[in-house]
Formats: sequence, C-alpha cells, structure tokens
Amino acid sequence: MIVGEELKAWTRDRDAQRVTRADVDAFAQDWNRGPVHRRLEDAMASLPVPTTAAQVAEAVSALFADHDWVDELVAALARRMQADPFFDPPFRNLSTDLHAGLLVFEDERVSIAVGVTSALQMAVRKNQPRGATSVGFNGQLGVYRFVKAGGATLSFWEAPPIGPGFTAAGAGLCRRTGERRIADGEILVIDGRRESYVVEGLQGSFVLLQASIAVDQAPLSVEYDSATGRFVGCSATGDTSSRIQMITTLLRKLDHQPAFEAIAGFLDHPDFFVRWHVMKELLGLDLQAALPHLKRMAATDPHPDPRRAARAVLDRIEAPARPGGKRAA
Amino acid sequence: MEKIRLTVEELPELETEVAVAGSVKQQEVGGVICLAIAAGIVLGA
Repeated sequence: MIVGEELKAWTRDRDAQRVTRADVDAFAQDWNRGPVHRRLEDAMASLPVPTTAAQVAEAVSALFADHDWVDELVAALARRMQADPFFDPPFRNLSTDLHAGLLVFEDERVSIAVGVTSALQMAVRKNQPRGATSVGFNGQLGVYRFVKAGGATLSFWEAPPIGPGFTAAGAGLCRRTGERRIADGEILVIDGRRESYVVEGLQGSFVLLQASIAVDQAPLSVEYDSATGRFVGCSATGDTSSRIQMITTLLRKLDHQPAFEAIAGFLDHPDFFVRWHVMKELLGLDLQAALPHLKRMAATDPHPDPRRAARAVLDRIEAPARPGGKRAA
Repeated sequence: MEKIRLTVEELPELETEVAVAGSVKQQEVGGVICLAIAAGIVLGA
C-alpha cells in the first residue's frame, strides 16, 4: 500500500487519477489488441467444435513454447509502475500466501495466468508448525510451463479419476508416484482430474505460466490428506454451480412461487449436488408440486447420493401419521 | 391457497458434502495452484 504525502496528493488530484486511469486503459487495450493475445485468441478459435481438453492442451503447449512475451509483459508492467506508483495492472489478480499472479487470458475453454511462487514464503510455510495439509486435485487438465524453475523439486500424486459419479465413500486414496527436479523452461501437462503435484523444495522463486482448461473439467476439485492419502473434502470446480445454489436458495427464502418451474429446470443439471440442492429448495417452496420430481429423483437419479436422500425424504412423507396428526420424523 | 412446505434445513444432506467453488478444508501442502482459489472467488455469505 502506498501511504504518505504522495497518496494524499494523488487522492486529491482528479487530473492525476484520470491520467492513471487512462494509462491502465491504454495498457489493457494494447494487450488485448497485441500479438500475444491475438495468437491466443486465434489458437482457441481454430479448435474444432466441440473441442476436447486434450486438443486445448495441445494448442496451449504449442503457444507456451515461446515465452519471451512473459518477460516483455512483466518488464512493460514494471516500467508503468515505476513511472506511476498508482498504476494498477489491468489483469485479475491471483494470489495465495505462496503465489502472486495475473490472469492474462480467459475464455470459456481456458484461463492462462502468469505468476511467481515465492521461495521465501514456501520455506516459511514448510518450516512453521501447521495442522493437517492437503494434496489438491483441481479437476482440470492443466499445462504448466516453468519459465524459471527456481531449482524446484516436485513430487507427483495420483488419485482415482474424479467423474460425475464421484462419491466421498468411493473416493479411495491418493498416492505419491514419484519425485524429480524441474528444469528451466520445462512444460508439464497435469490432469487435475486424477493427477497433482506438490512443491517439495525450492532454491529460488519460480515463474510459472499456467493454463487451466475448463473443457471436460470434473464437477469437483478434491482434497486428500497429504499424510494419510485419505479423502478430506471436495468443492465445486466452477462457480456456476455454486451461483445456481445461491440464487435458488434466495428465491425460496423470498417465497417466490413463480420461480418454481425455472428452479425445477435445474433438476437435470449435470452436477449431482446441484440437483439435490434444487430439489430441497423446491420442497421448501411447494411440497405438492415438488413431489413428482422427488419421486423421479429417488427412482432414477444417476448418482446414488441424491437417490438416497430423496428416498429418505419420501419415506418420511409417506410414514403413517402418529396419533395427534403428526408424521413420523 | 396456502402451500405446504418442508423446512429445508431439516432435509438430509448428501453423504458427499460439496463446498462452494474455491473453498478448501485444510491448508494446501504447496502444489498445483487452483486458479479459482487463487482468484478468491467470493460468492457471498
């Protein structure tokens, strides 16, 4: 954060703010119309329809063969930031406690980010006392170019493939398959639907060019305990599913009856957890109207979890009423 | 006519509990960077 007199002056100077804003906009325009972005767009546009994750990975790997543009991009950003400390790079910021990156390209098939993983932060994390840790399987095919590998040693891990029928009970175990040092410029293709890596050691920070492919992605990203290999938990891969869940909950809480049919349209969603979530909201809106859907789910849903949950609710509804008019719980 | 409703909070959860996109249960040991997590997708409380 920039503090002190310089910030105070900038916040009071509308002209200076306009200049900064214009510089940021001009940079974004130059980037979006520039040769790198155009090459990425052209490569994605030339893919067959429908395309597969492997085809996207192949196209991205070819584009990652040339990475001089990463140095040029970072240098151009640094120049602007030196000239104007309030210049904010026009890219979505990606940051964790270990990694700082910028999302430089995004379409419905792939997201491409450039970032640095800090050796210092990694050492701090590895050496400080901590609780249980996870190996994450992000559910997407990924292409990783270690522009500068920082002497990184990676271990590689495998787990049973994450598919639409994934269950916690059937998650199995993840296992370590090997370990090796990564060379500068090396490209790895990691299928996050069944593969992952862990940074075991670093001699210096590494610069990573990363493509995460949304095509054919698994519905879930899954965590396994790094010590035992056992399943820890899972989350939705994409935010669309989570947004559907939030919006349908909101509509039910507002008791918005006209939305019933629109909400019921999500009962055929490919993600099992969305289907059950939507079913619950329908039951919360109008039991009689939801009942045929509930029966269908209990009988035919392709995933065992929603089938079981729907059956449990049906059993509760159909249980004989107790004396006093109450149904069995 | 008044609709009959079930209380959603009392309905069973799935055996496979699925958290919202971008959330994790334990600290990541130091590996694949999930862009969804790194982007800090905020979906509301």
